[in-house]
This record gives sequence, C-alpha cells and structure tokens, in this order.
Amino acid sequence: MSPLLVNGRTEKELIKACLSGDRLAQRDIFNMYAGKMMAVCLRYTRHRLEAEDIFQDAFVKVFSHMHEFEGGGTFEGWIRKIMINTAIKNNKKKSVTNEDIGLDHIKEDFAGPEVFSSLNEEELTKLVSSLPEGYRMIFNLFAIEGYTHKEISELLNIEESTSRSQLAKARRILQVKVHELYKVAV
Amino acid sequence: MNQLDKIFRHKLEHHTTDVPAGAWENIVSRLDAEDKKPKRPFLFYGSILFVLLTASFAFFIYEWRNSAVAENKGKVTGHVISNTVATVTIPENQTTAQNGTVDNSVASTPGRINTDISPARGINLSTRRLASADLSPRQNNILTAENADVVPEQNASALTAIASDMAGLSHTRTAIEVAAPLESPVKKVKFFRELKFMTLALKEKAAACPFNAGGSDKSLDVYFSHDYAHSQLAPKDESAQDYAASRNQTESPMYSFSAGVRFGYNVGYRWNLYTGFNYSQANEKFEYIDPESNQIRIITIKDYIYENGKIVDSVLTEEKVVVPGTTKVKVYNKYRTFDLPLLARYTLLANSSMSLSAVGGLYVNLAFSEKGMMLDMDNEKPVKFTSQDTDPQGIFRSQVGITPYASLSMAYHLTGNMDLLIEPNARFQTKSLTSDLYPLSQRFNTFGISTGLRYKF
Repeated sequence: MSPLLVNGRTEKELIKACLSGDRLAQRDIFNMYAGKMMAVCLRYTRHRLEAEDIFQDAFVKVFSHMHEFEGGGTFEGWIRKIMINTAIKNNKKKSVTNEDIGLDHIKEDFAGPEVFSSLNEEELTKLVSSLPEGYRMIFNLFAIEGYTHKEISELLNIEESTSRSQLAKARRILQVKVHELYKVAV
Repeated sequence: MNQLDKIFRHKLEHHTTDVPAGAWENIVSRLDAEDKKPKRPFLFYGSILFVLLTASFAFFIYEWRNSAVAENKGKVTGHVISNTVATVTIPENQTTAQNGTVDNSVASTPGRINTDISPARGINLSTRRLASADLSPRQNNILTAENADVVPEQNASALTAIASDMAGLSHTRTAIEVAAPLESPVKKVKFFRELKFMTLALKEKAAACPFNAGGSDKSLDVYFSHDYAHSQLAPKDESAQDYAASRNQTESPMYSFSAGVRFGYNVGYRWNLYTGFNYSQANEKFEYIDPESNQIRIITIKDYIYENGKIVDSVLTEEKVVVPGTTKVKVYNKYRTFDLPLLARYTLLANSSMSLSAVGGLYVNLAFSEKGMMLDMDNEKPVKFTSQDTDPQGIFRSQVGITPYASLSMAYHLTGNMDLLIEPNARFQTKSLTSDLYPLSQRFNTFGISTGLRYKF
C-alpha cells in the first residue's frame, strides 16, 4: 500500500518536517487528525468547551514532544494516547466528587444491545459524555480504547475491582438512559 | 468485552467530528510562545555559574594557601636573607688575602650553606655578592643581623657558622650579603595581603586552633535533619483572603526532614566553606470534610396492572432520593526540593574536644516537585496537584530560587578524623512556590535540628 500523501508529502516526511518547526507540516498533521481527536476528547468530557480545551492542550503537547515519538506504533495511536492522557490529567485536576449513583434497584427495563445499533455516532457520543466522571473514563478506556482493567487501574490509580464494578455500572446506566430515550420516542 | 462495548467501539473508534473554529490558530500561538521561552531557566544557568565560581574560588584559595604555607615556613629565613646583611668582621691581623682569594673561598661556601640551611628550611640560599664593608673595630668575629628579632636561633647559628668559616679565610673588611630566591611566593603573598580578609585569615592562621590542631583542610559532612516546615500562605489581594483562610484550615504541618552531604574546605583558622547537595521534604496533612456530600439514589418502582388476576400492563415510575452523607478526604502533601548549599562556617568557640560555629549561606534550588491535594481556588473543592502536570496555568513553579540558611553548629571529636555534629538550623524561602497567576503566595519556613558526622581527610 502506498503511503498516504498530504500536499505531496508522506506522514513520515511531515513528522520530520514538524521536528524542524515547519508550521505548514504541523498544520497538515493537525488537519489529518483533528476531527478524529476532537471526537475522542468529546467522549472524555461532559461539555464541549472542556473538550476543546483538552484538544488544544493535547495538540500543543503533540508538537512540542514530537521528538519523543519513536515510531514503535502508529503516529495516530501516539496522538490518541496524548489526547487520552491529557483528558485523564484534566479529570484528576477537577474537584473530587464521589459520584455514586445507586443502581441496585434497577433490575429490569433497560435497553438491550440491539437498541444501541440504531443510534448514530453523535447520539452514542452524547450518551458516553453524560456518564458520571469516573464511569465515563473507565467505559471509554475499556470499551472503546481496548485497555485492560489492569492498565486502567494503573492509569487511574484505582483498584482493578473498582474498574470492573464501575464499568458494569456504566453499562447499566447507558442501558437505562437508552431505554428512557426509547420510551420517549415510542 | 460484551455486545454493548462492541457496538460502541465499532461506531466510535474512528468517528470524526467538527473541529472548533480557530483551534489551529490558538495552537500556533501557544507553540510560538513556547518557542520564545528559554529552554533552560535563568536560575539553572545561574546555579552552574555559581558552582563554577565557587570551585574556582576554592581552587584559588587552595593555591594561595600553599603559597602562604611556603611563605610561613620560609618566612624568617626569607626575611633574614632579603633584609639582612650579615657582616663578618675579622681582626686586621688575620686579613692577608686579597679580594680575589676571598671570592674563591666564598665560592666554596654555598655548598655548606645549602647543606646547613636549605634542607632544613626548604629555602635555597646562594651567595650572591661578596663586597667590602666598613669594619667595626669593636665587632671581632661577630655576626650581626638587622631585624635580629625575626631571626630564629637556628638560622643565627647557621649564619654564625658561615661567619666562622669566613673568619677562617683571614680576609679583612669583607661583608657577605646572602639573598634568597623566594621571589615567586613572596610576590603572591604581597598580592593577597592587599585583601584585608586574606590578611586576617593569614594572621589568624599563625595561631593554633585547639579544635582543629593537626586537622585537615578538607572535610565531608553527612547529615540528617528533623524539620518542622511551616507553610506561609498569603493572599495576593483581598479577594483571595477567604480562600487563604480555607486553605489554612484544611492544611496542617507534619514532620518533615532533609538530608545531604557537604564538602568543606578550611580557608583560615576560623573560616570554612561548604558546598554539596541537600534534599528536603516538607510534609503537610490535607484534611477535608464535606458535610453536604449527598448521594443520589434512583429508585425505580414498577406497578403492575391486573385484570382478572392477570398482569395486563405495568407502570414504571422513577424517584430520585437524595441521601445526605459526608465525604472525608485525608491526603498527605509532599513538597520536595533538591538544593545546592553554598555555606560559610565561622568558629566562635573551640577547645581541644568541642567547637561551636555559626553557619550561614544560601541554598540554591535545583529542582522542586510537589504532590498532594488542596482546595480548588474556584469552588473550594479538593483538587489533586502534582508536578507531573504540565499545564501552563499550573499552580506551582518548577524551581523555587534561593533560600537563606543559618545554623549553629556544634562539633565534638569522636576520633582523630571524625566529629559528631549537632546543628539547629533555619531556612526561609524568599520566593513563592506558586506561580504568578495563582492568587496565593506560599513559602515554607523550615526549622530543624540536624545530626551528622564530619570526616576530615
């Protein structure tokens, strides 16, 4: 497969140019990944403005730490990791509230997986964003990014069991929310 | 991964969305600002320069001391040689030879002089000139020396021996001027004598310190200090007073400590200079109780509608119940500094087994890090902070400048080379730990008692 060309330059050439401070190359890299990365940031925050702040902070880090990209994985994966880490740090800075919503009484009447398939990307993103802070982090990391509970526990400095239980709660909250949406629609 | 997760991943993993307008321009302006920032803070270069200057100074002192020691050792002899004309007077009836004969005789004398004086005093003597001089009839076979008060007996006897030799030559009206080739050290000492401090140190060096008698110039201190670090939080303006009060209520000092090594160099009887490395950790307890930490419980009630004993429908109602609760947060905050001490020690009192010194100087901060929790300035809820945070709007600085240090150092001889140290000390931070944008300034005043060992090489 031939490498993707942006303004006549491959990604590798663009990265090399970025390292020497070439703003045009940096803009090309930005244009390549901005849409995807903004979508990532939106999933990790409740409000769009917060997501925009994380998005910009993370891209500044991308360009100022580009010399640290060793080429072991994909460049997109490296940028995504920076976005996620910035979002996690931003979350740690925010006030600590023990958002624990009692779900023990909800035993039935929540939507099954098939309902989710009918939702589009924007609706799913909104659903994830609406999750309580901790649950949102864990659901994103586990379900969408593919991190293991062990990796999540190290990243968020929590117990593995906490990661597991919060993921379960996050799923149930999503199902309840979709069920409510579905009910309203019906 | 269950079915739900798969749906989310499938739909959102590569999802793209609109990019905020002006985002690229904002990023570029921030990158430009970063490029303009100096790569290394000024203080970092300042610290390096300070260390180099200190090292150069120490080396210079070392060189000077060597010269001074040489001068001290050869002091008396040198003065005699340079300032004194040794006059040998020989009875007239014994003077028969001519000047030429005397020259020959004296030519054989240096060997003797070198043998008698130089090895013992470390000074090279030579006979430079043989000249005629007035003969005093009253001074037969007598050696006279100007500045006789500085001539030690050994040198006087050595010169007497020379005079005796000369007397044996049977020459008349003959004088010998002996000069010393000590020009270089003497010049150096003259240069340094222009510095008052140096002159003082040199004079004091002549006296023997009962504590350091027989001791070495170089030493190594290893110490551990038990500290009390008091955090001084001050609002930068009136609007931050309540916030400062809230922080003071939630943060309290705890046992802190510091430890390090210091290399010492003795530059005079009373003066020593020190440099090395110091690690300090100021600990605090952050305790926060939120009495309004409510838990929201969602209760779902399902009512079944029966018709003829059979369920025909159901009604779902949802209730949100607020359960009042309390959140307690207790975190131990840590503020770590890595410093380069630049200190001077002055001995106040000393006897053969103990000494009391005043120590003063500066701690130049090389690195600062922090970790813990505090109240947020916006909503006064607990927030975590860490030095890993690279946010440009961060609360803390990465370096905290220069901290004056003062202590009283008591030393007790354990062995010939080892002293036990007890040192009550105090440090006062002059620069705030917090950044300019943060509404409070924060400084630590640290008081401690350090114990340690001093090894003299």
